[in-house]
Amino acid sequence: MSVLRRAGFVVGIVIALIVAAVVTTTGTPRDRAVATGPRVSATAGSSTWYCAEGTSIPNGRADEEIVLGNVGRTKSVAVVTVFSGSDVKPVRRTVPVAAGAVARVKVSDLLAAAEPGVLVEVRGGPTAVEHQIQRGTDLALGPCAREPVRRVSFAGGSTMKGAELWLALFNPFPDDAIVDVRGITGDGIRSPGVLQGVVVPRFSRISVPVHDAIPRTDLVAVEMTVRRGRAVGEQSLALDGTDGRQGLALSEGGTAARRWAFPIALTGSGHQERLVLANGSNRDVRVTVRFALDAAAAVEPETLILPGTTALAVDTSRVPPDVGFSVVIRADAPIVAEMVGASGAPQPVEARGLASDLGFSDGAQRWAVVPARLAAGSTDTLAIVSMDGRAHRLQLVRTDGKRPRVVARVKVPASGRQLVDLAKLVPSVNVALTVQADGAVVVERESTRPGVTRSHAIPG
Amino acid sequence: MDAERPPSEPAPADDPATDPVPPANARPVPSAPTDRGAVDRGDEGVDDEAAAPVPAVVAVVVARDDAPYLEGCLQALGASDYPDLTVLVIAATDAELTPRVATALPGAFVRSVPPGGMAAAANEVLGTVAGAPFLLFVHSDTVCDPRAVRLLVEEAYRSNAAIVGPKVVDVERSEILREVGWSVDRFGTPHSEIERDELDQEQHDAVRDVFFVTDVCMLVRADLFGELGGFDPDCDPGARELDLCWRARLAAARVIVAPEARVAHHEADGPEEQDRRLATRHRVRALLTNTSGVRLLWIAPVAFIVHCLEAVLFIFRRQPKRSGELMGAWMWNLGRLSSLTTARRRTQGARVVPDREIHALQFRGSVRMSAYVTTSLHAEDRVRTWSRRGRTVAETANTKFRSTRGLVLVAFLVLVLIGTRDLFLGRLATVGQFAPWPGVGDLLRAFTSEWRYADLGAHAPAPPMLVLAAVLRIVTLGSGGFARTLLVVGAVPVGAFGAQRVGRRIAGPGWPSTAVAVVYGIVPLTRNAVVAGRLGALVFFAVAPFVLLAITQLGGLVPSRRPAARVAIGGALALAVATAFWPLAVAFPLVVVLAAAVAAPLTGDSLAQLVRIARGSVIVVGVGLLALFPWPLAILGAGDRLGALGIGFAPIGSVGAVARLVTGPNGGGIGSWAFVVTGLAVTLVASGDRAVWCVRLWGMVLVAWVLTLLPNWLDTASPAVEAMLVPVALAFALMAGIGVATFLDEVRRHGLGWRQALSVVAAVTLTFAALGFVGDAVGGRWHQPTGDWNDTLSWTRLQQDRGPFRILWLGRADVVPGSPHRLGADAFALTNDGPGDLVDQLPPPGGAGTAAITAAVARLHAVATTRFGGLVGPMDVRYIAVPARPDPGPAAGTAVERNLVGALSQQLDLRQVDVVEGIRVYENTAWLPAAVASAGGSYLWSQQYSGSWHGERAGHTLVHRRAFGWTNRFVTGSKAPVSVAVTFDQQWWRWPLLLMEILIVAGLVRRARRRRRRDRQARVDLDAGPVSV
Repeated sequence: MSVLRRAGFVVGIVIALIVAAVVTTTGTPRDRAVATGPRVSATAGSSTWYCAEGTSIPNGRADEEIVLGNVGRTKSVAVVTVFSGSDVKPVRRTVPVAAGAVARVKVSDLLAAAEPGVLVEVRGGPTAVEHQIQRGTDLALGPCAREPVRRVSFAGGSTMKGAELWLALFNPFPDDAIVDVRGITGDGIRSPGVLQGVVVPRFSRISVPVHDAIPRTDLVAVEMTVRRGRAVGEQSLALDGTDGRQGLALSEGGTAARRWAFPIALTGSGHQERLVLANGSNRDVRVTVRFALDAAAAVEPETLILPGTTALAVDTSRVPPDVGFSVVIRADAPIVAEMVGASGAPQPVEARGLASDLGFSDGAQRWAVVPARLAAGSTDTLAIVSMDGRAHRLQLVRTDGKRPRVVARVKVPASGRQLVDLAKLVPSVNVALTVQADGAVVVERESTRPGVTRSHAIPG
Repeated sequence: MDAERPPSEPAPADDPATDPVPPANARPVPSAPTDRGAVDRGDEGVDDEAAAPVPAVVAVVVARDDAPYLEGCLQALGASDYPDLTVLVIAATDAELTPRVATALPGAFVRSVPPGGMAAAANEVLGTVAGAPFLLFVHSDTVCDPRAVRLLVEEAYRSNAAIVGPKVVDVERSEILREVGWSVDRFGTPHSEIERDELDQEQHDAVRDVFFVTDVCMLVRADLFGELGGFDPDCDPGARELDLCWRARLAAARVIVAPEARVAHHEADGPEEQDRRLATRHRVRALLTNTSGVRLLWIAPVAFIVHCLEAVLFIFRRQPKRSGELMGAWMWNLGRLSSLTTARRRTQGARVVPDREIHALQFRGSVRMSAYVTTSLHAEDRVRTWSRRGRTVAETANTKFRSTRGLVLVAFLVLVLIGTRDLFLGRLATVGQFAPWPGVGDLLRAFTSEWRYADLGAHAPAPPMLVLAAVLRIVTLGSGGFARTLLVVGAVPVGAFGAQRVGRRIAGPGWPSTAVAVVYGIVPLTRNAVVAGRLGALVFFAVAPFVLLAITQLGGLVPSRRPAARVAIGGALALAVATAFWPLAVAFPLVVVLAAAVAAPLTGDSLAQLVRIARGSVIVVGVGLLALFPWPLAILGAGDRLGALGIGFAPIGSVGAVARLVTGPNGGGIGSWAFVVTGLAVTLVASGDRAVWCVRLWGMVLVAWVLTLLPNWLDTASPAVEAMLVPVALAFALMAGIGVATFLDEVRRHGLGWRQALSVVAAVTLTFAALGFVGDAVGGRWHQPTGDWNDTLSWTRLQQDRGPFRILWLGRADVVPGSPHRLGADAFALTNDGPGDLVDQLPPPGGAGTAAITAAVARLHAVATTRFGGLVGPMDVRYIAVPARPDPGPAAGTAVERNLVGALSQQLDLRQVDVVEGIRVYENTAWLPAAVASAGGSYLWSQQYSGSWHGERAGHTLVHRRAFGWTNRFVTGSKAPVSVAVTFDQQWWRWPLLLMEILIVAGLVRRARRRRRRDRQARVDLDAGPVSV
């Protein structure tokens, strides 16, 4: 081989290799992100839940009960710890939860405290943890938080006469937290000094009476920001009937998003719905609200401008009365949306109450419903909405037996909702259910008798 | 004035020889010139000043032996303008001096004493002179300026000084400085700021405090001299003035030099005054006498060690006599403990000033090499020698560097210095593997320990890197920072030098080898290695050319003028040094073999040729590993072997970056393509043997490229990329040299054609690369960060009061300091009792402990726990640090950090600690302080489990159990905290291994040196240049 041919051969190989490698190789090291979020662990492992709101003393504002539902096929063990202050030794109880079963722990059985914060650490099968609070004849159920977050927003608050709006701040961590709270109202931002720099001592829970700090305001969308340390926030709203609504609602809050879905809504015959939108940013946001009715009728979408730093209630009066519907909201910038439903006369007394639920911003294929039945004799309904605009099939599965058992198979339309009456499918009370879909759906439950409550099913 | 009497004979009271200056002479002291009273006298000032009384001064001239310059001395004193100066000649000689004194200075007094030392003679004034406020000690060969005495006295009052010395100049050449006061280092070795034969340009003319002045001419307050008891005769000669001034300092007296006062000195001291052996003894005595008891506890051992090291160096320099002097000085003092104790008692009893104030005046701990040269190695002789040698070298270099080639090399070196000036003048940030170096003792202790405490501990030999660092620290006299910077920055010129050596063989001498050196020096790898803190890569860069040269010589590819054994040992030792800092360097010879094999079909290298290269490589690798024995065996342990080999970094996926050798902020831009373009162009232009070499070098480039990119393709951890690309840099540099040789020999002789055009293209692109090198030098630190986490988290080192602890570092491998373990996209590392040092580097595989912490970190990543602190608490992890960047500053953080912080924020037993921007630090509330770890019936010893750990309490052996599957628990049976003594039973095993290690290295060095001596006898110069293949 001549020198020139040899050199040309080498040069050719080198250039070809460089070109091939450049074409086939990415230029940056790959990041392999690990997903985190408030989900039920799909596999055996451990999970921790933070239940902020609730009391455990007689005549407290919200008697609290922890509900643990194991949606897996292996048993789990939960350690329930109640914190009541930095200087008070926390009280612990270990609670076994059988596969597919639901266990309940009244917080007052562990510790009687005005400010109890409950931490639940689960090991074993995938277990969802919710908590239920009760005041008078009404109760509210909602999932506990899976992690502390830097900022949490609530939309459906009110501090009008007869209203108590409490923000419960729970810090089970070893360092103190400092939290700033502000309210987004119909008239703009309200940031009272008393709500700034709220110290949440380590291993303690405190309650912030927002109704005292921002009094007599119809719409108060509370926004909580953790300035230092870590904390979990949860909100409860109690109405005494002064404005025609009465009962207790619980909201776990969320972060602003561009899309929201509300599977459950109903007006007429004593039912009223208030859909509250809150925009914490300084810019105006264009919002489109679509109503999907259970009946054949249709309602035109409503487009509105949500001014910056403002909260407003969407007019739902165009929806025909006594027709169930779902709502999907799209905004051109992140906002927070919450639906507050109230049931009053002429509904029977045991079916009256207040219920609120932040909307869904993301769908999932798998949801845990814990408990499937709120109580013996309760009316429990699941409402399922497709989040990707396509119809989906799904099945409801019980895992309390030796083998998972499908208790129902249903279809979810591309638009609109699918209702499932759990009372017919699951006679027993302490059972956990899993909803398994072939696409992204959202699942919300409503339970009545006693009281009225709505809550998210738990993804994962 | 001619009175003279034997000292033993009682002198009459009126005898001027015994009482030369009666008390009546002590007149009132005049006000200092700045005194308000003197100034306020207005017009009367001049007359009053002339008439003002002055303090009496007695000039004490000690005349010994023949005192050949006595007359000059006395005449100069007689010419002094000081109005009240009395001269007393102490005749410590058998010679008759009285007539000479009477002739030279009739007014002078003479007192004869038996011949002896200067100190004893001078001390005669203690009993013979009274009333004079000042004594002026003058050598008999000193010629005082007429104003000198007056100026000294004036300065004594002005500065409130007790001892004042003048500027001493040469008699013959008054422009040459001899003395302007002396400093001293902590070990009692004098140090002068002036150089030998330094010209007096008034550069030292400020009045200033000095540690001591010599009695060539020394003005001393008479009362202080009396209180101190005069000179210590046991420190004479060589240290009497040092000792006197030191004691004066201890008594809170000032010692200053007043350079306005000038004296000339003949330097005609007797032979004993120049006896270095005596001087060394007496300086050690002064050190041992004047240092306080507490400080002596460490000063004495350190001084002894320093002197031992100097002695060793002198032996290596074939100056055994000086070595003996140093050691003899200590033996001499040890033999006079009684005298020493008496002197110490007297000195320390009069102490007023604590030693810390004295130390402020001493030369600080020899922190610089220059200090080492000028203080501890006895500067006078060395500087004289170096000066002489320097002139020779300078003359030779001058000839060489006047050539353009020399200027290019000088410019390159200057640019390296400019580019790293801030690293020398400021500090080298401890990023990556640039961990701080602990003290020599700690390094040697870690090296000689059978148990490695890095990570979670392991029964494995320590890396020889520790002993190399200790040696470097010793060479720089304890300055770890300077030693580290020297190693880091020195890698570039050393590497360039090595490249020049190998370039001479492969590309040819002259311009080709110069081009090889310069191109190798300007590749951006080293600058980016400095940015990222890749210590191993830099050391490998420095020695890789030497290893390549050895392999090519052993393989017969280039000629060698040295015996094969010496070549092999030299290459192996170079490889061993690189491997000690970067374990994968041991594979470099194999890369060379692989490259030769890959290129063989095109180069025509025969199988026999390949076998020769392989044999040479195996020898180099084998002997190199032997030199490191038994450390390589540590890699065989169970655990994270990849981490132990330094494979813990994120793989590089950018082929462009790999091709351009750009792995960081340095060397970017179009110029970085120069190396590839040059390589390709030279391959096309070269012919004959040079073309063959180009193909071989491309083989090396391709193999190194593939190995560098392989981890990305395999989706696994990668070694330090900067080190992996060193063979590529070397190959490109050699190709550049071959290109220059080709151009000079062939291309330029022909007319314009494509080969000429390609040569021009290569030259132009290389110019761009050189401009990049210049541009990177502007900042002065090659873009290295100015801060580091080690400094930021230095406060953690103070947290050991509650027990030992570790810091767990989590994050990207390029920001986690130390030796990271790879886990998915993340990395983690452990440091002991603070942010880490060199001892924490290169941890062994780690066994079950590493598996345990890897599992814990994996659980954290998956957010499968909210009690991470509880998981790592038994591992003594007290702090968890998540840096988002290598140094403090704002950082958005990547997905890795965000996920980690998200997971850590959910942990119930971690408390966030406020620090600076760019890092998150959590304190583990589940960490067990020592008191807790030893309570509850058992004692947790958070080192990897080994049956050789042995626990004792009150003399009783404790039952030893395995805990948490990886660590040790000793059953104490006591619920209360107890004290447990834990020892490692197999430490004894280290000593024979260490001895074997020393013998192996010493044997290799000895063999190489013996070969060198034989070689000198029969060296045959071979023509340097490319060899025919």
